[in-house]
Amino acid sequence: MRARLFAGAVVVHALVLVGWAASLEWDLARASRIRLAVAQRDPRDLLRGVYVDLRFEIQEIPADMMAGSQPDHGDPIWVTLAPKGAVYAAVAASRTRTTPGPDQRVIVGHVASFGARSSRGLSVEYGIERFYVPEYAGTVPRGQLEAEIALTDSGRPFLTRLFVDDRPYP
Amino acid sequence: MKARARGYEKLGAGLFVLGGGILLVGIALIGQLYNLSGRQSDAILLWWILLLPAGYTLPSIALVVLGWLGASAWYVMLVFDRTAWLGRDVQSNVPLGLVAIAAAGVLAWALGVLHGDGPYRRVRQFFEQIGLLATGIALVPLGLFGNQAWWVVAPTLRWPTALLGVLALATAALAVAPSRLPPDRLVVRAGPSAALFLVVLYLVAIVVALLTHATAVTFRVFDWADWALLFVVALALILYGARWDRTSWINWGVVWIGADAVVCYFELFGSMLQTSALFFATGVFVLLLGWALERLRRRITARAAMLQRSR
Repeated sequence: MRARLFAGAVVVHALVLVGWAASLEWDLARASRIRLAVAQRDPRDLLRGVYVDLRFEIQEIPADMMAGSQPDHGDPIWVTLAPKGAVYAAVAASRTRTTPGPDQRVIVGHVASFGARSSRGLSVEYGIERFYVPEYAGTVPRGQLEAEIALTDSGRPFLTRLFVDDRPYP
Repeated sequence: MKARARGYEKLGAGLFVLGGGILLVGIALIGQLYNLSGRQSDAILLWWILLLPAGYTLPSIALVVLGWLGASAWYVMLVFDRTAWLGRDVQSNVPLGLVAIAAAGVLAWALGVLHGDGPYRRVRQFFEQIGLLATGIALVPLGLFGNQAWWVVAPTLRWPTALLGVLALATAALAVAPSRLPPDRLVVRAGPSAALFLVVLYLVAIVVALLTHATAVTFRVFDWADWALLFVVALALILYGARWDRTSWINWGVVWIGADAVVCYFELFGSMLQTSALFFATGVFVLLLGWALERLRRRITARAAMLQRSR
């Protein structure tokens, strides 16, 4: 009986992990790809190994772009993106779900912090701010950095790869 | 499971802990594969939610303790993350963070008592230690900061519903806890819960005072109330610990009283610098109190151990 319970516990754990990965794969397969401009990066973390901390231009939302009431920390934010050259840029932000226009996309994040009292802008996190560098791929070379994002219809983003001077990395 | 069945209890427990750790590594690896950089507390939540049912089903004390350690880490991460449901309640005002830690401490103590003296005795001991440590860690600074201006400098703007939810949960757990205490008269068994319920009431009062922007005098009263509360609850812990042979209660009760005495000393030090004689007297008092308390702790612990051996 105990052996069966143990096997059951292991199977449940494995199923949860496999199910989670499968749901992520499912979302990724149905998502459309866009590119975002990366404002700055931190190339290496001494404690956690080789990953790149990214700071996207769309993370800074000016106060005049925000529709509706002022959000609180952690509140979800729907940011409308529109093509601007080769990348997408933020054009509107709202506390409620919005319908994008033609050629536009919506990405969902949550409020991480607020700017200075004078600017009243806010900083948004999307859960794509970290890129784990594959083993033996070396550090990300210097150059103009852009990130390819897979964006589901609901606005959930996945960071898929980076582009350095328009060349894919890794 | 096989190692445990053959009598290698510790090896079995170690392997369970290793397996639980590998589960966390698996969760982290999936996050890394898909470059997920959301809240790390979410990963810890998934981990302990998966571990605990497995720990209780097998049953494995090691897995249960590991799971609850994960839950404790998750709670602390929530307190410090201002974008999380609990963090944004408490980050607006530092004392609310201390209230959150104390509320979790009371909840942990009650959850520990609920594990009883049966097969989960070690889980109970773990919870009681964690709970009393957290409650003491929060109550001592709350007593120190009563006369500081920053209590009201950072005003609380919204009702901390998540924090009040944790306090309600702690109250519910305290209400059920006496049913799992050693056989005794109902009034006696309700004693420890009643003492810790005073802590909950005090914490709720602090939240209300912060929300209503109470006067500085009110916070000064809270300061004194904190001293009295620490002493009363610590005394209750020592007495009930001696009654039911729970040495950890006695030890934490003594630690609380000692910490309370030191807090009182520093409070006097800050406000009555000119009265050096009082300093000296207070210092001597603290030293004597510490000596007396240590003697009391040793005596009660030895008596509890002797009682245990004689059974």
